[in-house]
Amino acid sequence: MAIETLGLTKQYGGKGGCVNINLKVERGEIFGFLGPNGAGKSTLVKTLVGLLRPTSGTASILGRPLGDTEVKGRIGYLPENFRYHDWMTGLEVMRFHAELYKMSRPERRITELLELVGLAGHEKKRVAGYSKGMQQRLGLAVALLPDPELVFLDEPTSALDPVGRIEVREIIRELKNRGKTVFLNSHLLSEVEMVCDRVAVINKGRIIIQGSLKDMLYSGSRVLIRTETPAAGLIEALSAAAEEIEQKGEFISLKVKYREDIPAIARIIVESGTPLYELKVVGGSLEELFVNLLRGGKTGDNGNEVFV
Amino acid sequence: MITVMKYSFKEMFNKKALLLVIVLTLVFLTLYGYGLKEAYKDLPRSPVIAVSLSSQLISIGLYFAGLIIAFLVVLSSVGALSADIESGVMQAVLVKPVKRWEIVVGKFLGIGAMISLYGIVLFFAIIFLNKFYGARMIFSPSNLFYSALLFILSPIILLSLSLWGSSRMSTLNTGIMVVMLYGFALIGGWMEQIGYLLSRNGGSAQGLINAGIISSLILPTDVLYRKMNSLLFTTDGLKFLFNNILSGGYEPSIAMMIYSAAYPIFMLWMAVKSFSSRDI
Ligand SMILES: Nc1ncnc2c1ncn2[C@@H]1O[C@H](COP(=O)(O)OP(=O)(O)O)[C@@H](O)[C@H]1O
Ligand SMILES: [Mg+2]
Repeated sequence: MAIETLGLTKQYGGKGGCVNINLKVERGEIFGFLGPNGAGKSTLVKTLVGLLRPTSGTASILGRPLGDTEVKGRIGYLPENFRYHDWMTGLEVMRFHAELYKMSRPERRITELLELVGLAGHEKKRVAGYSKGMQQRLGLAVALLPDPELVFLDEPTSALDPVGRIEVREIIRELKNRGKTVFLNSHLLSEVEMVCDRVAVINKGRIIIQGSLKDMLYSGSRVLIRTETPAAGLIEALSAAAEEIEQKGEFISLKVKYREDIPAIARIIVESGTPLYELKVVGGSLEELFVNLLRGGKTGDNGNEVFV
Repeated sequence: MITVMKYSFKEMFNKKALLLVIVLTLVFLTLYGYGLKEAYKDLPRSPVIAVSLSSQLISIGLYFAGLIIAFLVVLSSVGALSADIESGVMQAVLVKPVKRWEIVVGKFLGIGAMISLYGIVLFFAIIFLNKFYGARMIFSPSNLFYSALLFILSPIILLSLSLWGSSRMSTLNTGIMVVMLYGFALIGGWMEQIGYLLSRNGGSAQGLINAGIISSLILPTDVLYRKMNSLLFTTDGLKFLFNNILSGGYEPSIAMMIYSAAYPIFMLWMAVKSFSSRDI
């Protein structure tokens, strides 16, 4: 287990922050932590990396309790709002952090990483002259210095142009291929959708749903089926695998919980002897799903400003 | 910790503060040197008066040098922790495999080393200028050594107070607190001197003396300056020091000296404690 939290809560004077977070992130997984601005994403990550002291609850990182010094040598962290010592050059920043990581011969790794994040050629310039995007690239290089087993990225592409975003996505995929765990904070659904295996959605400090994106998508969509007149008992048979079944003429519309339920539905129809002409999934775009989630019931009302 | 120390030492070179202080120092040393040249040109023939004048000139030089170093301490340390937190630099540093106390102690040692170096150079520059222009004063090496030590202990004390403030408050608030307390200690020192002079002349000025003692307890910087003065001008049990408002015969007690030595250690410990438990 890379990360495990139990009822983890961090609030600022009883307000804001994140509340009662229960998460399990497996090793080798890319985990997306999705939510609108001010939802509590950065608070959780800062608590996990030991910058904030939890108000209550516990958590472990790579099998060790929070704040363990030894584990810190095996994690990387790209903060959301940060700067590096602006009197140093990019190269000096890298050397400084390599020293903090107690790396003995970092020069090759530094060159390699500056190349990877596209800062080669700029490393002799002072950080004070870096654009926000260049700083973010440098931050990513610093986070990857010790070839960490677990990387926390807090809005890693917020200052990047579209090309930069694609490059970062490639870097994240490459990390996964090498068996690393990535915890990705983002308010951008598209970003999370493209790289993450599993996600948790947070709003107003609380997690409202977590699981694989595919499952979430299918839970929000309807299956539209076109048949001839249904055989007797078909509707009853379907209700075992689906919900909210509606029938209008030659169309049946229903909802499934998991993606795996769709072939089961097809099988039930075929086995009942009803000729099947068409079966398709409608609606259920991720945007729709999340806007609904964020607006829905007990959760927030400011969900409409995000996920673009 | 070594890394943090090294880089905070380096950082001072890259800040405008040090440049400013160097310029200030050069201007001061030039003016002071010129003043000494004029003052020593026709020194009175009476050895007592000549020695007295020399000691006064040295005292004044060291007094202003102390002010310049205090200025350097304030500029370089009020933001040592807080400015890094405010700018976001600290977030990336604290997730590394270093303990928080290492950051605090590393900063203390790095800035402390730079300030000590500066203090020693300035101390001996002043002694040298005086000797060069003909001061009537003989210093024993051990007196010089211990005086220089006391001379740099004072800014170290100021540094520890400033780091403590920086570990829990904003840079601005720390700056205000440190400057206020330093001024308070300075004025308290004068009050104690005046009280002492008055009481020696038959007056009763215990109130003034008490005010001085209290200010020394809050920040024992001025008291160290006086101790250094009395040490510097005592040779073979003979004291060549004459009373004035900056320095005088009222010698700080042993207890006060022990207190002054313990002060930075205590402050550093407090800084470590509050920095270790705070949110970044
Ligand atoms: N240092 C702080 N003091 C007080 N409130 C804070 C602080 N940091 C964050 N908050 C509040 O906590 C909530 C979550 O913030 P944050 O974790 O930064 O959200 P996100 O990263 O999801 O945008 C917000 O309502 C924010 O106003
Ligand atoms: Mg955030």
